[in-house]
Amino acid sequence: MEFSAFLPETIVVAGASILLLLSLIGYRNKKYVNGILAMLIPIIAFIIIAFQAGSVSNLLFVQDGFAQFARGLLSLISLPILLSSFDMFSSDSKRQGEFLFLMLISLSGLMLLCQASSLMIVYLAIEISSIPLYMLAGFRVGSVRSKEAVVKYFLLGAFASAVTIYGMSLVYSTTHTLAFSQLAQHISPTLPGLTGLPIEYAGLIFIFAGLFFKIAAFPFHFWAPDVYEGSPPISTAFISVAPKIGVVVLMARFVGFAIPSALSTGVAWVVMSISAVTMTFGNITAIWQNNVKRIFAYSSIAQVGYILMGVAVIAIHPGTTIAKDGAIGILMYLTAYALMNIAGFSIIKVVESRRGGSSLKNFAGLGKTNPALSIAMVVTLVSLLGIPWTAGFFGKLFVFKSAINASLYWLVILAVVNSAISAFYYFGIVKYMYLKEPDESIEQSGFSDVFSSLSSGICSVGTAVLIMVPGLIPLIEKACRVFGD
Amino acid sequence: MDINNYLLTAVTFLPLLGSLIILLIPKDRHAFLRGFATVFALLTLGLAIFIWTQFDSGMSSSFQLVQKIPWVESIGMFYHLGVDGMSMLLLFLTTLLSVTACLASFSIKERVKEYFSLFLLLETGLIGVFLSLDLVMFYVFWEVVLVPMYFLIAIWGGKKRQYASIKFFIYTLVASLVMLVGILAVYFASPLVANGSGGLTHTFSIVEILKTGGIAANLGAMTLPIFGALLFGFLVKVPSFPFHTWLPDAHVQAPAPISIMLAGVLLKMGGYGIIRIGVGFFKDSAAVTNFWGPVIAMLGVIGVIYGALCALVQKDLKKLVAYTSVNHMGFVLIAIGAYMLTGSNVALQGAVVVMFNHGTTTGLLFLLVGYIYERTHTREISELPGMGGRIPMIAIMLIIASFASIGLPALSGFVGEFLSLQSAFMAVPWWAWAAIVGLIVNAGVMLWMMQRVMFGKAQDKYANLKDASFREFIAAIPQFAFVFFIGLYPMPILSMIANSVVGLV
Repeated sequence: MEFSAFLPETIVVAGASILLLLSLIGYRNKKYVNGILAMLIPIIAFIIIAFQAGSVSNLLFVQDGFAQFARGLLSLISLPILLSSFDMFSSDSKRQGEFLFLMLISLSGLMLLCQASSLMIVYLAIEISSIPLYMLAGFRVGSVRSKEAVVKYFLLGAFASAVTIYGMSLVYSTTHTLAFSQLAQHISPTLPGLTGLPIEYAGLIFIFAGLFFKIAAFPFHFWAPDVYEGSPPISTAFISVAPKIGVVVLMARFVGFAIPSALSTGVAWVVMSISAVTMTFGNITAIWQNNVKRIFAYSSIAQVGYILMGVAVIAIHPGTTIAKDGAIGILMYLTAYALMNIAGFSIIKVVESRRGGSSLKNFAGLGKTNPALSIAMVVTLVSLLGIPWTAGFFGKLFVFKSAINASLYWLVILAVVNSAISAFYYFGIVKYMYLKEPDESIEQSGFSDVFSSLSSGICSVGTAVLIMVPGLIPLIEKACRVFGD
Repeated sequence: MDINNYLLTAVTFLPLLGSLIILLIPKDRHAFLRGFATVFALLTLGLAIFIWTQFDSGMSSSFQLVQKIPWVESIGMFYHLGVDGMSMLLLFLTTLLSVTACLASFSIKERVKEYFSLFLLLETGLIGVFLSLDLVMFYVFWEVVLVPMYFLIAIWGGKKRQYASIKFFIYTLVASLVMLVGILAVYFASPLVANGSGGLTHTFSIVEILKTGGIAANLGAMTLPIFGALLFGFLVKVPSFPFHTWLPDAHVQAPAPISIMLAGVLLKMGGYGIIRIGVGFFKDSAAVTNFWGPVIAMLGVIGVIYGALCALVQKDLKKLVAYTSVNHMGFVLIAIGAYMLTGSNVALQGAVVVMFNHGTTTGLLFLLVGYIYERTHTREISELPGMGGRIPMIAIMLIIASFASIGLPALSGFVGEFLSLQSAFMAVPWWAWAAIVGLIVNAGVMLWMMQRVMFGKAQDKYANLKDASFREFIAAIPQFAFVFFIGLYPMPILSMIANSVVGLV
């Protein structure tokens, strides 16, 4: 394996470290220089990824098309978040460097996770990405909510990591391997002389529990609403998007390659059940929220439910064209999801800084006072709801298509009912923006939201035109051939 | 490059272009905004008329003016537009009513810019539904209609607009999502076509699926539920009993021009969908024909009777007209059910002609009710006696439109309902008898309504009402032309349907 295979991650880590050092010195226009440097790093990483042959495959790493697409996606979606983060800091802030450093380090961990093919790398990559995330959650200095968020996130996250590694050790205890390709052969449904269930079953359940925690799937979601609400919106944008890309990609690979075929139905049922309850719980709970951040938190939980449908499809029929369909659905949905959520949280950031809060009341009459931002929000919400022509629709289309292909009619019907339920709260926000009168006293002069507005604009336009990006779907399809052709 | 291949693309996206340009116009230039939107609606109508001149109404068994461009070829998704006799008529109806509704929208005073922008976006969605020959495109346009409609009711509607708009939205969203499940199941039962890179793939192409003569064989045991899923999506839009409850709310709360679009065009999406996607795809299945055919017709019969009875007891003029829509769309369903059982041209002609006529007459009725409301600010029938003396022109127009709606011979309503009943007699005679009961009740409803609104002594506060202005008059004239034309000489349209639709269902 050549060093160049990891050049993108290396550049991200090295760049992050340089930024951290730069933040200690004072010079002119520091905020913009640092910010632009930070944005250059993922761009360079992306270019390298785009030109990498990507054929590494050993017991620890696999750089196939699927991993390459996910790494590329991760580096691209970090750009609008970095852009929004300009608004978080005053021009001479020392903390900007820390923020950029943490975010980029987390990004590098997630990029590693996308190409992991061994449980050891999985654990390391998840930890590299998680620890900076805890700190990002606490970046609102002096806010009790933010402190609560970081403590809750850290304690629960550490617990989840412990559970994961415990599960890995159980699996290792009987299989004596951590590599996916060998696990598929060594996790045995029946051992000679064993009457009960083999111990690696327990291990698998613990591993899945830890992964479900990281993507906030029911019943491991409790941290998400509090953390999303307490963290600064720009951190939340990253926390709600990037880890989901990394972990879902990893899960797809894990169920596709590490699970022996005798177990695939069982694992598929676990994922399907979690998917079903996650989307239902997220949607129903979201209806009762009156804070837009919390609505987005529960909406994210629901969206994870839809994405897990794709993972379930891979789990049922690994190594077939149906699995390929599922993987296509996952990548399509993750791309759409990233755009929608970043747009959403950037808009929340703008509303927070102009109107002093993010409850539904703060959105009242936004359609009159800030038409462009409101249109961006409507596009985002319509996309989350899954109405054409937006990216969210095509995400749902491809995921549902793969599930129908796998004959999971009941799950699709449930997802469809859920989509309809979600209209209540997504259009609840629309109702506040367009049908309520604005409270004039609430509007403050906008001073630090230019970049968030810009980034929300970019992401919502991206949501609207994603399907027209030439070559995107063929690229995704090519990336997913590894799952079966 | 043949210019004809681009005609349908042009007519579909011309309103969208207008919608986008309107966003750039300053919002306080109300007169300019109205004029601009009207010009775009007129241009679209002109283009639709031009397309009709290019359309060969004698040509059977193929879609015309087709444009087909690979979109996602690897899964059989194409940008694919085309017309046959049925979609030609509905395209024309859409563009015609858009002009009418646009003229009627001159009375909108608030947020004029957003209104016309959304209105033109709605028109693009509606046109796209009738011209799409790819299931994904069909679904995209189908849903694109929803969002502007929600806003048009929610922002410019009546007192209970928030409730009505979200009810409409969620009701139809559920329906279309269930339909999406059906569409995806149809996809996996569709014939295999080349995927552009040497392999084979299933296809979303309506044309390819119709060519196979039915896909029930591939669906196997899932045939009945899958047809049911598609049907549910369409029945809610029609709307058929028992899924009609969103309609009265949406109609009463929507502003008058939007009621015109809603009743005149939106409801046709349902009937069109059943014919294009439901019936044709499943004609190889005796199970579907024998089970769902009678169910559709029965729902139609119930709709005819129930709609008329509900209309009978309404105190609100607009709600009354809304319920007559349930009645009229029942005739469409009866004809479709009869077509599934007998396969006769008469039934298909009946369904399409009723749809077209209902578009023009109900469009007119809502337009006129809107005129009355703008003058009196009430829709309570009991408040409105003596309008015949106060606003004679509007009253005369209302009488003609009501007679057309009743189905008086020599007016358009008669032709469609006659064909629909005739086809029902050929299939299952008692359907027709039951429907005739509803027809009679409906006639009573309209006559009684006219009696209460036209005659009697007008209240003193309505002494100085102005009669129809030139603009209001112009908005109504084209529909009247069709009411008389189809009533007196229906042959061109009937033969067009017989020739250029039958081979494609």
